[in-house]
Amino acid sequence: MSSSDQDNGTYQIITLLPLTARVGGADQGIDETLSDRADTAVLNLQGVFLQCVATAVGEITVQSTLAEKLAGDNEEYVAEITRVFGDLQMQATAFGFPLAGNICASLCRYVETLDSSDDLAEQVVRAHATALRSVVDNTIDGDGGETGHDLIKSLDDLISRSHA
Amino acid sequence: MGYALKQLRVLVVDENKHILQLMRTILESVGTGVVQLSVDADEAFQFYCRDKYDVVFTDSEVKPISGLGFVDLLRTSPNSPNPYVPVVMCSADFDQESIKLARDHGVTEFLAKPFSAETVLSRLEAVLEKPRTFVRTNSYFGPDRRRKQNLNFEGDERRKTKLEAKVELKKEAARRKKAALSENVEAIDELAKD
Repeated sequence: MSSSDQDNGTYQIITLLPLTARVGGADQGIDETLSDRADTAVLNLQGVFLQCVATAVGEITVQSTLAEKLAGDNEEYVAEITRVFGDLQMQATAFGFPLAGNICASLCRYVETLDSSDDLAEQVVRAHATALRSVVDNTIDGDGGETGHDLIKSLDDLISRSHA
Repeated sequence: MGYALKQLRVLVVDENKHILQLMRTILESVGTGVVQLSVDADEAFQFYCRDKYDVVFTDSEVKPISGLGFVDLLRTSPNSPNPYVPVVMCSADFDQESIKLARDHGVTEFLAKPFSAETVLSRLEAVLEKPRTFVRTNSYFGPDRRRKQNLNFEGDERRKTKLEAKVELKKEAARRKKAALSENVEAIDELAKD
């Protein structure tokens, strides 16, 4: 592992052999074609994520309307929201969409604070779904800057009002 | 013709299964021979002791022992098959303090989340091409914490230029998208007022 050692009694310095010896020699770099392929693969994964969000938002919106109409026991629906948005939050973090991740986290936090699943305010769910769709439609792959901050604040305000 | 990464064995540890999927995609796209994934630091250390890896990427907050605890195991456990392994620590919130702490635990390189294929591969190249000298004292064992900088470098900066161009393009696209997003903020504000 080490090519040469120096030891003066107080400290020891160990010089390592470069790992390039294992991969075909020095200074070749990673093949650019392969590097571009990796780039493309990541873009594809991001595309899958965006599609997942669009599908999830669509499904949640439909379920939200149903839940409002039925106004009955919606424990399963609330559990589904936590599961779907929790997973989307992890995906958003992975694929470079922190604003989308923050929106999902906001909804998960809101659901956690509910005493009962019956307390779920549908307008809070729909506002989060709308916000998420907006981020996806515009592929905002950052924190959204000041506008992103305003968006999260608006959602927080809506949550506060629903608790009042 | 680039590196023959088929010989390379990489271990990736992160609690987020989507990050693991992303890392596998990136590393396998460039031909990495073995990419072992783990969501748990204890399990990852077992993999490491059993199969021995050339490079380790770990998140800073892996459970149950944290990323730093995991690095301690790699560097100082008597069971560690290679205490010199390059360790790239990944995190979404590095600050000066956490970087210093990680460096004192023997982290080789840092990778900020969210990451792109380019940033992951640039760290991989760095650990392949520039092995850090190791230092052992009474209180520290790990890569030399002093970085050498070659200010007289005169080679072409092909990679950097390409990256810079991409960053500029992304900034411009982001500016356009933010304008579209602000319309939705107004809509949600209206909803909050109702």
